[in-house]
Amino acid sequence: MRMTMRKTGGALAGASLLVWALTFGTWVQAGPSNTPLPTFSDASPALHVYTAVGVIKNNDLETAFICTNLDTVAVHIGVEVFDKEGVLANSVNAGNGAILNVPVGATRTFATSGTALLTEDALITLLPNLRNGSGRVVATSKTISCSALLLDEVHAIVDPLLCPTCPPPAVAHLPLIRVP
Amino acid sequence: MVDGRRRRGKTQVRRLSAGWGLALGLCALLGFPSRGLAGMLDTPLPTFSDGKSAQVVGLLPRVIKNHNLETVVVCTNLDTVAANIGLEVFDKDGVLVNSVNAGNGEILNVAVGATRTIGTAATALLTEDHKMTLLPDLRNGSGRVVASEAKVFCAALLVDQLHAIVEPSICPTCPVPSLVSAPVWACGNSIVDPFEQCDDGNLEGGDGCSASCASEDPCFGKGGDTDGDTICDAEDPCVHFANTLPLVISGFSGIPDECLCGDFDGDGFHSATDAAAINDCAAFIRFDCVSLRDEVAAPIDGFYSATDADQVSLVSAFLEPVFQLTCGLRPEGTCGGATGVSCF
Repeated sequence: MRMTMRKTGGALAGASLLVWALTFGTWVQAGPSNTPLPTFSDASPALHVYTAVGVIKNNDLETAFICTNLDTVAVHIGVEVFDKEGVLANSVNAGNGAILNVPVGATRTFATSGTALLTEDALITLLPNLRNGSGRVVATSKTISCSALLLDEVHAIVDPLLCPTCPPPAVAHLPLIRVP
Repeated sequence: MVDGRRRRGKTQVRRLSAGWGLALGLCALLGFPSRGLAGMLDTPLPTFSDGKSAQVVGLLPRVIKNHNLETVVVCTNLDTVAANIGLEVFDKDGVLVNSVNAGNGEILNVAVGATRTIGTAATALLTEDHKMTLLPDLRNGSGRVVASEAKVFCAALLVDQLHAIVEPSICPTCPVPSLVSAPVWACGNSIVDPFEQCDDGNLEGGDGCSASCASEDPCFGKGGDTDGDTICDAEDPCVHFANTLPLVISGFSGIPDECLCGDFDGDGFHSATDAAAINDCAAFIRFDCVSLRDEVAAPIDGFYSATDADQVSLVSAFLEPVFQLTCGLRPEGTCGGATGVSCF
């Protein structure tokens, strides 16, 4: 009798958990604040360093992150991008948007695509049009400093003597939210 | 009326720091009470069309809709439940020009982690989820992002409405759209924005910075917890002693211990506790501070003296930054000795 009750209770608890997971599981793990942090490909756990609101990959407008390692040891740095519904769009663990062992004092650039203006160290492979989303910078140390840019993918700055009618690219600063 | 407005403001604008209240009070003092309900700071908050109340999650000191330059906000719901998000726009005179409650500038039920974009118009460059209906030329105004949940964060862009980015191989001379970021003042973004006393990147209190980005340090703006006892109290100014100038002050009655330092309490060191022992923190206020001190005592008699302290009867007077307390801090034990030994 007691065994039966225990089993029944266990089954009920399991069913409750399943219902809870089915009901809330999708949103609990959405977006930069509620998605579990990744590990890097060498299994090092990642820390959430910055949140980016307004990551755009749309109509040849891309987003780039420039990070400098201010720690006294090499660090891994990654950028995770979330689409407009908060779904993670790349896997840092698989090396998409990650650079391992950034040396002390070194700077690395991540971008949602290669651009004519910058020289990126890591290109994040994403679907062609993310449109408007968000992102987060993760690293094995919080002692890094990053900034972000929204920039024109296709235009470079051309010497006006060579091409007086060539337009310069559009570039805008994208504020990052530092996570304590 | 005033009390009612205050109560409403406290409830609604819970994410704005105490500094906003000071700013509003200053405006009233400066003679702008008629503007009391105008603009992003003081216009009553709306409710969303589903009846949920709104709170401010970001202030936009610059919203432009003029000559095909538009303003676009991109917001992500970082909360743990779905949120309504709205953008209210105010014209150059502070008049609200859209109704979130009527669905103009409103997006309901933005899922956790989701990002939505609201623009003052559709643009060729971006993909807006909601385009507001506004008069053709707002010119220059301001705005605020409101949401049903606290943890909604936004970025803002000023964007050329008409131009897209065109591949130069297709159109080498096609101009590129103008694009520039616009500030969004928000508590919890790790940036100490205007009217915030602090911003530690979260919306939790009890960690030194409140949920409304007001400092929880009782010493904030008062000279600090200089003696390190984690309490800002009358003891604190006592460690600011650098009485290098003998204070021969007219009107002073009693022993001028201001010009002395020593081991008054017999603990072997000259320190803050000495001031407590002689019960006169003013003993360690440097002369330049003292001269300012008298300026704020009432009645002003032209002299700093014991009566000044009596008039305000609070050592806290010395904690206020307005007095420009710049007295140096002498480390514990550097000035041992008997009463009357010169400090430096």
